[in-house]
Amino acid sequence: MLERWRRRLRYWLHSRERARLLREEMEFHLELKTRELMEDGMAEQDAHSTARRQFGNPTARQEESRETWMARWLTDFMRDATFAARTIRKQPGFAALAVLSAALGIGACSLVFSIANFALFGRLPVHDPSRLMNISGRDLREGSVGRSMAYPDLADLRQAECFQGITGYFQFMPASISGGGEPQRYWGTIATANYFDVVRPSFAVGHGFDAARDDRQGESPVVVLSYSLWKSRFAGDPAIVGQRIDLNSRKVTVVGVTGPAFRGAETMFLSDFWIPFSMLDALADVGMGGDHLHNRLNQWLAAAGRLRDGASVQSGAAELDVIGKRLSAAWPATNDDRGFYVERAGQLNPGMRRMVVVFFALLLAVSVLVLCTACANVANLLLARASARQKEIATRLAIGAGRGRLVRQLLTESVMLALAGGAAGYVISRAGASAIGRVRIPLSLPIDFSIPLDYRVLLFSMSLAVLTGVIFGLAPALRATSPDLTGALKDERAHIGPWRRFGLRNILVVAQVAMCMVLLVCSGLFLRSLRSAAKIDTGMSHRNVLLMGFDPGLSGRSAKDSARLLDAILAGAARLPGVESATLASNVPLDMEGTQDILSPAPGKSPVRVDIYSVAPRFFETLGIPLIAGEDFRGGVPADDIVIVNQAFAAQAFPGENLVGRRIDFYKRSLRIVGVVGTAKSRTIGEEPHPCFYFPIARDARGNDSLTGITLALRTRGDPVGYVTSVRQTIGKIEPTLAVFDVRTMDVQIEKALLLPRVSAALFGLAGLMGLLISTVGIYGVISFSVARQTKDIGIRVALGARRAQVLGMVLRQGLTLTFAGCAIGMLAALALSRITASLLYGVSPTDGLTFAAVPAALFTIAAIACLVPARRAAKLDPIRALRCE
Amino acid sequence: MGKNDLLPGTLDMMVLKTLTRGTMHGYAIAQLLKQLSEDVLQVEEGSLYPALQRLELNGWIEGEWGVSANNRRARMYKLTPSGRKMLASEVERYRQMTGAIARVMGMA
Repeated sequence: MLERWRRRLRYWLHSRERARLLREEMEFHLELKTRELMEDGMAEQDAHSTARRQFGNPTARQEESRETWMARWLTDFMRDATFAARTIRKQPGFAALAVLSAALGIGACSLVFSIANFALFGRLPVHDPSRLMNISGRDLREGSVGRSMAYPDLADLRQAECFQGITGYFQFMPASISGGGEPQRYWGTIATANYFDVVRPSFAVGHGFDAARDDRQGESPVVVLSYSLWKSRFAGDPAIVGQRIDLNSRKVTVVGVTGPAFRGAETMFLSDFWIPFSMLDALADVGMGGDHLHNRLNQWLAAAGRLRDGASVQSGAAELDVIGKRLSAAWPATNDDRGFYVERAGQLNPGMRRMVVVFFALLLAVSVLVLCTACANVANLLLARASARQKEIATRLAIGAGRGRLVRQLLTESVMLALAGGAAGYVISRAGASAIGRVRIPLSLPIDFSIPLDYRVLLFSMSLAVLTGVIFGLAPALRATSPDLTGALKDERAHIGPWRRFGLRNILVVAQVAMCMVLLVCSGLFLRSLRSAAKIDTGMSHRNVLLMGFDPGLSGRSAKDSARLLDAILAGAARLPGVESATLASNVPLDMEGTQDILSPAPGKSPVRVDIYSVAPRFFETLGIPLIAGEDFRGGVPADDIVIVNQAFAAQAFPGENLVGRRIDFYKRSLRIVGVVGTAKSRTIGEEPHPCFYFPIARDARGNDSLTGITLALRTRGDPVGYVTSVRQTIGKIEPTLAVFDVRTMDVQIEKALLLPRVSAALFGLAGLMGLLISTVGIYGVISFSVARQTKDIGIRVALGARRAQVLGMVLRQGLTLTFAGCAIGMLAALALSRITASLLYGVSPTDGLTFAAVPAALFTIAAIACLVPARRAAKLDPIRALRCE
Repeated sequence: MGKNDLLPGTLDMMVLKTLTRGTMHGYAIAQLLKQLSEDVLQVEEGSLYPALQRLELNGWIEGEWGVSANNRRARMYKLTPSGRKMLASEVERYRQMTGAIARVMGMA
């Protein structure tokens, strides 16, 4: 079979040569035959014709031979393709427009598809990824999945027989690594020792943990590095295996480096190193306070399991359900309502997936709209061209070409255009995906948005291209080959008329303008929302504020050392020339990482949700949050029963009362309010005024409670960026091994908080722009085509005395009527749809007057310009030449 | 191949059989077929060529440009081992077929 195809291929490569040789062979045959007949005494002429008669039709035989090698459809297709390529080459302008339209539409859809593909079908780069499962906790009461689990639960799960092994891990483990340069903070994973046996990634050098040993506390301080950390920090030195490096000021031995593709067991979260559970005690002061090995309430682990051969996802899930029920019965206090959830690893965390899916569903709707606009465009261009080619097609029909055959040929042409568009669209989606990959969200968590584009995306782009090619090619092809031969051959155009009211082309333009209107309203709303979000008062004076993070807990310091370190850093920074005030805080506004609590401020009052901050003295002064009443914290050892609240809290809990000196209950403690400050934006720019509590920061604070560590905030004279080096030097002098991270100004922090309005404005703005571009091309194309069709007509009018202005007006009127109809329909559709966008807008009503006035005006103007060009061409027509044309 | 008044597939088989006598060109094959059938089989000579292409595609014969008896450039065909095998099974199939037809017609 394979051999046959190889011979076939060889034939195709030399098909022309082979055909010539076959002809030669046949001629040789005829010649020998003729000679033989002549030897038998026949006259040359007779011998010749007898030989031919006995031979049969050589051309037909040749065709038959060729079909032996090539199927008929293939020959036809290749002929169609060559013909289509020739026609397309003859009209490069048309082809460019069609390809561009299709590329934009297909590109937008492919981009959205690539994200869905990644979120739904993604696979981890590990051995046999289809057997690797993510296991997460499931809350049976709420039905939510994707939750962390407690270590004792994990230990019970490991009895499951459907799994070869189950590993538990925590992937937000910050650690400071030094050696080979300045100490830096990295995010890593702490995992049970069987992690690498279960997940089974490839290794660049070395190997994973020793499953037999590495769970025993205190034993084997080892680390596995990620490929990128190995490359960036250790210059890819293969001798790194066996070396000891500093991790949180502890010596650990590098046992391996993972392969370049593997970034962790969960999609989107990057891990730079992996350490075994045996180091838990040694690092216990990092980020996870409390008893994390025995307490079933301490749910902090993610888990992954590898299915045994022959076990299915269903059987695994069923077994875990049984274990879950047994645990609920055995530990009703902690495990009531808790179950487990299993799904193939490599998908987005199920807890996050919903949000992502909703956002991209909206985006997909917009992209499909763009694609429809593009399709309408290309269909219109093809229609226009088909009627221009009517004579050619009619001639071919008249001399006996089959209609099906002609339709197939026209479709080949449109599909070829669409395929070119699909290829260009794939390139566009690649560019889009890499742009998204560069987005950094304003969290210091190690999240990676890079979207791998695999063969599925390419397949999608190309199938979409074929589909669009057929869809936008079918109507024009059927119309062009409709059997009205005589009229077309006589070049009669009465049936097209100057202005057929409900012609297919006009309907397409109206639909296109309407869709464009919807897209533009959408992007207008998001742009307005971006503007108003940028103008929102943050409640702070954010100019000239420098922020930098560090975490005294990372190096395993004693409480006393930490306190000394914090004091020294704060004092050192405050002493720098140009620093007006300096402070420390557990977290700062718009971090998105603060902690929240719910409290009932007094008996009988409804509970209030408050954001919790721990801050040093002068915090409010440094960030420019006004002190309304009472006083700031004082230096020295802070009292542990005082709190400063913001106005939002005062207004919600005790409206109209003077709060300074008042006591409130907070977790069985009685707190005294010492001050009231203005309300600053706490989590997001768009939020309603949010109640906040500010506690005095502990003197020996570490990053235990927050992933951002401790933030040093400075108010500087002049541009804060100029102070970065001197602050770094000061800290370096105090503690050379301390990693400093997340250095940014408050302005940048706010910029980052505007990411959501910005991204949506950019995406929808882009969609609107594409829609506008495509429909402008569409209107222009249809009007200039209709002018070309009416050349004769206009010529007669001018010859009979019509003035140029009248001709101009006539053509303009055609175009603008279409635009007007499209705008009106689009406006109604946009009004109906705008409600959906409401949840994503900041301070703009979904029926924003300005948007709904400006967009139609702009669209109308652009349409008018698009019509004006062909209209002027019509007005300048020379009647003599117009009448003579053809 | 209806117009050639042959049972389907028999032309291919006969061409293979002819080539068991040695390497020869298209015209020679046609001549031999005619001689051996004593002019009973009226085959359009041209239909030999698609058959040759078919056999070559299947790897049963191999064509090579060579020199004919009167020193002309000609494409010479020869049987391949797999063609020989094919011929054997075709002959067997043919024997069964004709036997069956003969029995039905009450001639055996």
